[in-house]
Amino acid sequence: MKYTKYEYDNYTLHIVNTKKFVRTYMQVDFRTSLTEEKYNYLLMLSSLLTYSTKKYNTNQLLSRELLNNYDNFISCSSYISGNNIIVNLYNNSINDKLVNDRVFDKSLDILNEVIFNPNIMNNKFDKKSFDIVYKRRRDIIKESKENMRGYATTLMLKKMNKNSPAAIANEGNIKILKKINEENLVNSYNDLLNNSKIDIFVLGDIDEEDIKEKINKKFSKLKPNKEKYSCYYETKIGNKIKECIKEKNTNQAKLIMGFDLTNLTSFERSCVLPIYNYILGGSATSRLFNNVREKASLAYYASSSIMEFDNILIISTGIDKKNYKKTYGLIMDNIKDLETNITDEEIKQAIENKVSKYNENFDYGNVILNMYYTMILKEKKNIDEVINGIQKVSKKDLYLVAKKIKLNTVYLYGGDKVGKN
Amino acid sequence: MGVIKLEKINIERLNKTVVIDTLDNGLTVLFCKTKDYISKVAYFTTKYGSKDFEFIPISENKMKKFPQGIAHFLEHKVFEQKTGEIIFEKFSKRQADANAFTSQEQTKYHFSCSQNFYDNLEILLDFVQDPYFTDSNVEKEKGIISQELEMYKDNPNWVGYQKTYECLFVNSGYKYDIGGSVEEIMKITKEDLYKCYNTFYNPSNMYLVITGDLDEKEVFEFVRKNQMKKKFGKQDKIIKKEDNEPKEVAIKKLVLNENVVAQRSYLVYKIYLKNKMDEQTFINKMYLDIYLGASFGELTTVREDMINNKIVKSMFSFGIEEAGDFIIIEFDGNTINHNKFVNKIDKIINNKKSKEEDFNIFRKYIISNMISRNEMPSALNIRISELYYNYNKIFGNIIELCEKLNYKDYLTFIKTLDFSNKSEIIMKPKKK
Repeated sequence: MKYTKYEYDNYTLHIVNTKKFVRTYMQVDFRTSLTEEKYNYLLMLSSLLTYSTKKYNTNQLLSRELLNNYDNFISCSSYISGNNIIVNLYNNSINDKLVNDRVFDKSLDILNEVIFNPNIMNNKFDKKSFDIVYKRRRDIIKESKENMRGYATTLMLKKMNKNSPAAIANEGNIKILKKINEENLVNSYNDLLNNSKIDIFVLGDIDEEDIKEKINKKFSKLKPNKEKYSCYYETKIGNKIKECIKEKNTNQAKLIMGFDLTNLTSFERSCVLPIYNYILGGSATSRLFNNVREKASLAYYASSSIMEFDNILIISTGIDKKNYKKTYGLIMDNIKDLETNITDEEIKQAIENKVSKYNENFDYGNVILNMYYTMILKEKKNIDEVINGIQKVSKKDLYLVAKKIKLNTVYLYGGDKVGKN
Repeated sequence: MGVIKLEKINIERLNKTVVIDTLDNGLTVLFCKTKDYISKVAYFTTKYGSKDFEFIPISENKMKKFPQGIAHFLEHKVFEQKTGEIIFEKFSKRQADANAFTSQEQTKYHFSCSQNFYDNLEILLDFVQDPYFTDSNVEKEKGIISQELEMYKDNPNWVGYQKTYECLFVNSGYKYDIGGSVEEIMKITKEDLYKCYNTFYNPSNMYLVITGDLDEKEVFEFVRKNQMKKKFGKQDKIIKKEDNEPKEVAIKKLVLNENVVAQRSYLVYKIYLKNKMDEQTFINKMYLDIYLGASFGELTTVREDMINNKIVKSMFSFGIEEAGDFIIIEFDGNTINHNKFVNKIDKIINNKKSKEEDFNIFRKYIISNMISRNEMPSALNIRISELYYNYNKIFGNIIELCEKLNYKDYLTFIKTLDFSNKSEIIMKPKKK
C-alpha cells in the first residue's frame, strides 16, 4: 500500500495505490466553517446533488447510469466535526480488469456530473427534484424523535451548552429548512465549491499519472482556499451540574450524561482519551459494561463515547426509571474510581485492542480513506503518530485525564409508560 | 488417524477455494483463505433459533414447549463459565472483538482479530461447548434481557418488523418476537436452558466457518484436535413440532398505536417458495430480487408518484426476507392514504411484467455484486454461512449461475408467483 500526497492551490490529492481490493474507492471532502444555518443548507444540498444532475435530470436516469456501470455507488453526506462542516462525496466501483470495461473512467464522469453539473437551470435547482428531496429531509427531522437514544442525546447536548456545535441536531432544523428554496440553495452550492478546503482521496489498483491529470482537469478551476481550519471547539465549563428529567410515554428511560473535558493537550485528546474511554465504557470489558450491566443487571447497554472535537464525553444507558438514582450513583462511582484505580492489565488490553483495531481497518478500502481524512481533521501528521502515541499511554497520563473530566449535565428521558409494573 | 479427505470447492473467477470437512462428532467446518487480509474471522453457529421452542429434548420422548425467547436467553447465558472467567475479557486479552446474536433460525457466536487467531478460536470453541448455568446467573440475566426487550418495544421500526411476522404466520414459531416477552423470559429456568442446550448445541447440529489469511492444514488440524478432546452425546435427528404452516396469513389487517410522529403503513406478502436446496431455488430467489428492483426500485418512478399523488409523505421502501419455505416481501411508507398505498403496490406487483433492458441492468448489478462484495474476511464469512445454511453446499459456479440468468426464464418464473396472501399494518401515533 503506497500513499502519496499532492498539494495544489485549490485542492490536495491523496493517492493510495494497492492491489488488495477488487473495487476502487474515492472520496472528495469539502471542509468549511460551521454555522447551524449553513449546515442545514448543506444537508439539503448533499441529498440533492446525488438525486439528479443536469445530464441525468431525473433520479431514474442517474440511478440507471450507476447500476449500468456495474453497481457503481455514489453518495453524498454532510456532517459536523466540531467547528467545521464536512461535505463528503463517496464513490466506489469495480476494477476495470474484472469486467473488462472502462468502469473507473465512467465512474469519474458520473462523479464530475454530480459535483460540477448539478440540476440547475436559470439559477435555480430543478423544482421536481428539490420538492422530493425537501419532503424527505423534513420528515427525517421529524422522525428523529422516534430514535429515543439519539433524540435524548441531542436534548442532553442542548442542555449542556445550547450555543456549542454539539448542540446542533445532526438531522437538521425544521425552521431553517423552511427558509431553503431552489434559488438560495444555488448560493450554498457556489459557496461550497469556491470557499471550501478540498481533499480528494483515491484508493485502488490505479494509474497515478492518469488520475492526477483527470482530477486536475476538473478541480483546478476552483478558487484556491488558503484559510486555516480547526475542528476543535473549546467549551466553557459550567460551575453547577444540570439535572433534567423529561417525562415521555415510553417503556424504557434513557439516561444520558454529558461531561466536559477541560484543558486537554493534543496528546491527551487523541491518544489518552481513547484509552480512558475504552476502559470506562468503550468495550464489552469496560467498567460500565461490567458494573452497570453484568453485576447490577440494571441495563442492557451502558457505554461511553467521546466527541473529541467538542471536548465532550457522553455516557448512555437505557434503564427502568425507578432505578435512575441507583444507576446515576453507580456511574459516578465508576468515574471517580478511574481517578485513582486503573490496573496495568486494563491499560495493556485497551492499548493492544485499539492498535489492533487500527490494523484491521486496513482491510476496508472506505475505512482507510476515512482514517486518512480523520488524521487531517485531528491535525496529525499520519496514522502512525496516533498509533505510536496510544502505545505510550501510561497510568499517570490516564489519572491526569480522569481528573479533567467534569460532569456537566444529567438527562433522563421517558420511561413513563402508563400501567408499567 | 486415517487419511482425511477434505472437500474443496473452487469458486470460479473469484480465485477462492472453500474447503469443507465434517468431523467424526458431526461438526462441519468450512474454511476460505483470504490472502493479504489482516483480519481473521470465525463464526460458530447452531441451527437453533427463536422459532424452535417446541421439540423433543435430547434423551426424552415427549414433545415439550419452552418459554418463547429461550434461544436468545441461552445465547446470553452460553457466555457463563464454571471458572467464573469473563469470556469477553479473555477475547479482549487476545485483541479479539467477539459477540453473538440470535435470529429466528440460528444462533451465532463470532470473533474477529488480527493476531492470536488460534488462541481466540480455542476460546470460542471451548466456551460455546462448555457453558455453566446456575439459578443465580439465570436470574441475573432476566434484568438485562428485560431492558433489551423494553428498548426494542420503544423502537417503531423493530415493532413494525416484529408485527409483520405476527400477522403473516399462523402456526410457525416465526410469528413470535426473537427475544420473547418479559412475562415469558421470567419463566425460564436453569433446567430449561440445559435441555435446549444439550439438544441443539451438539456438534452435529452446528457448523464453523473460518476466513482469513491462514494455513488450511493448520486450521483443520487445530479444530480436529480441539474437538477430539471433548465428549458429546450421540445425537439423533432433532424432532421439532411440525408447524404445518399454511400459505394464508394469520391476520389480514392490524392497526397499532406507537411512538411514531406520523402514520406509517406496512404491506407484506407471504409467498410460498419451497426451498429445495438446489441451484434452481438460488436462481429463483435472484429472479425475485430482480423483479422487485425492476418494479419498485430506483429505475421506476413509483416513489415519486406516491409522493406527488399524496399517497406517502416522503418515504417508501421495500425489502425481501426468507423464512423457511416462505419469502416475505415487505413494503413500508409514511402514508397519507393507506388504502391507495396498498392498492398501488398490489396492482404493480401483480403486473408480472418488466422490460428486458431493466432485467439486463439488474443482472449486471448482481454479477458485479457477487464478484466484488465478498472480498473482506467478514463479508465472505457471512456469504459462505448463508450458502451452507440455505443450500447445504457452496456453489463453485456461483458467478456462472448469475451470468446465466436470462430474461425468458425470468418472465416464466415471475408468472408462477402468487401474491394473494398479504397483511396490512397501520401504525398510528399514540395519543398524547
